[in-house]
Amino acid sequence: MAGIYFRDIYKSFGTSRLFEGLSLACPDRKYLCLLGPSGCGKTTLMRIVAGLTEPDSGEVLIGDKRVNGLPPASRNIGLAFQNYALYPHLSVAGNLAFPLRAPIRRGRYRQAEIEERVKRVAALLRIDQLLHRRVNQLSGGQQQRVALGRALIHDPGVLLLDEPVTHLDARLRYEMRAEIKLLHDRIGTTTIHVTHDQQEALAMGDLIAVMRNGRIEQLGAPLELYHEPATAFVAGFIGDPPMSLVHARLAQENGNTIVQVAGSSLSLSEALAAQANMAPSREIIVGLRPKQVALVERPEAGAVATTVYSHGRVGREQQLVLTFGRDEVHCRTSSAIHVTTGDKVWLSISLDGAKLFDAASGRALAHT
Amino acid sequence: MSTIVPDKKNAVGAATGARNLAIYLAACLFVGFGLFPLYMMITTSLKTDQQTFAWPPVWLFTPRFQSYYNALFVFGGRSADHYLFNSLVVTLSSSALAVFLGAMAAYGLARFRFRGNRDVAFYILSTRFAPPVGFIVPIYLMVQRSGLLDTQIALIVVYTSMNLSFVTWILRGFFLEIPIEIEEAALVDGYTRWQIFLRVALPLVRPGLAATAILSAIFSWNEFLFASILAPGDAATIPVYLAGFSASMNIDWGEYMAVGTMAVLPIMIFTLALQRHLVRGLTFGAVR
Repeated sequence: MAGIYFRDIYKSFGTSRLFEGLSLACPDRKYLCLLGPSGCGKTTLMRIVAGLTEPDSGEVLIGDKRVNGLPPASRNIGLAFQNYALYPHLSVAGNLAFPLRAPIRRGRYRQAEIEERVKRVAALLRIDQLLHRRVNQLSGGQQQRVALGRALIHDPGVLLLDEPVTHLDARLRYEMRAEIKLLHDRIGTTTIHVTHDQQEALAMGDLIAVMRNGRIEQLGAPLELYHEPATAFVAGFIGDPPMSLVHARLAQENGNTIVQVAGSSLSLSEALAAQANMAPSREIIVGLRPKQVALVERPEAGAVATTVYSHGRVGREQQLVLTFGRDEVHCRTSSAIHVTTGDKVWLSISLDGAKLFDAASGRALAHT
Repeated sequence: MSTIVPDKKNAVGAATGARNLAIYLAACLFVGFGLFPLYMMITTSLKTDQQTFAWPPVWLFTPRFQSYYNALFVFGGRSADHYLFNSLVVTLSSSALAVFLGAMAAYGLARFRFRGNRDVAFYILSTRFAPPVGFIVPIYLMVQRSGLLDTQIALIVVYTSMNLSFVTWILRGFFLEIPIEIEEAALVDGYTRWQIFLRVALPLVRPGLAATAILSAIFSWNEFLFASILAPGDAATIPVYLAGFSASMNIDWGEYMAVGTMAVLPIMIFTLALQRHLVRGLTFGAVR
């Protein structure tokens, strides 16, 4: 068991620089999700832990051991690939036993012990009745379990999962998420889980590192990210639907700070006004949860005009995406209403609980 | 109306039937053309001289194995089995060497990025551009100076080098098809490059190994030009021995054809045995 630490990592591919001084820590026994859109560097970061990619500079530590330059085999890691990468010429049992039979572990396991471990890990993942099958006779979910079992079988100090449930169908995905999480609770191996699915990260991670363009936007517990996004990018990425981000401008009216957006003025609570006064410029982004906006029948005080961009029904509620100024606002109604794309609707916005971000840097405006 | 439809259908059916029949006949004709010499060789090896030269040809006869007996036990000097054995040694050694060395070269070209990778790959292919007869004199001198004239080693070395280029090229394609993640998984699981090559990559390109082994073996088994010049005597292979028959004043057709039949059999058995490994798609479904 060991924590994973990145210190000042630099990595370029050709002329494109991915990491420029990235640092990140995943404490021992934690489940860290690397979350970000494709191309943000999350898989590369995981490959750097595995030793499949070497950083140009900077240190990688597993526990208190510097692992730079060590071959993957000497890092005591388990890695489950996004596409499973099972050995097609071997049976399920052969795949599971493959790491135990590796020359680097020669003499550590006797044949009887190998068989026993294979049985144990197969039982853990409920694939014990499939041990003699060829891996290409398995379903996606079964293959995924074999990949996971192969990563776990030699008790690695660190478990690396690259989009482990992405290719599964929705039901199986929920099931496997819960199972992987349970497994982690039982065995406690420090885990890095790469995903682009914010729901998955929120459901599974002890910690989530949101990444963009090779930078860590924010590292924190799921609820922390949800309630206190450090940047507008995080706010717009986390949650279902995520926060709506509205470009706005700060102004003064009768000595109070107000927000102007698309021709409308909105007043700020005292706490938010205090935050707004810390803003480096007047251009800000307002982050709104869907519950802070409500459709209203007719123009009333404080209501703003928006246009329906898209709409869809989810069970009893209706989800709308509305065009507001140059931004889009997500909105939910509790009962079905009849609108079509292009309709004009009125929106009442409550700024209580809204998040304010500096428009230029995207950083959240700090509390006092 | 209802009667016209089935009629029309029948007409169409008959037309396709006739078409199929024509295609079938053409195919039979072609196959017959290809197999007739083989048929002649095998039947002649089982006939008496009288039956061989009878006109009209004898189609039905009682086969006799006297020619085989003669070729193996009666003929003076080295008999056919000696040359068959030479061929077997040369073919198996050179094919095994070419496939193994070629696989290593192909793996390196497929998996490692180094300066001039593609140039090396092209150079390897280019060694087959010139007609082999063009460098038979230098090769003869090299073999002679190293004292390897009329030895199996000379033929093994020459055939290996001639087979190596196409083995490398074919296998390179097979290795490129293996998803890189499978080998990365093995790296993480604790295997070295060399072990991954042996235990992961090679089993996954088994169809390629079988295909290249068959092609190398066929080439080595049938090669005549180099064999006749580098190993004309004791180390001669079966094609050289066979050619000796037609050069003699009085051709023993029965024995000639018996040796020919015996020369075809081993390579046929070898090919049939390896054929089942040619099944493609082992890696299909390995990754998604």
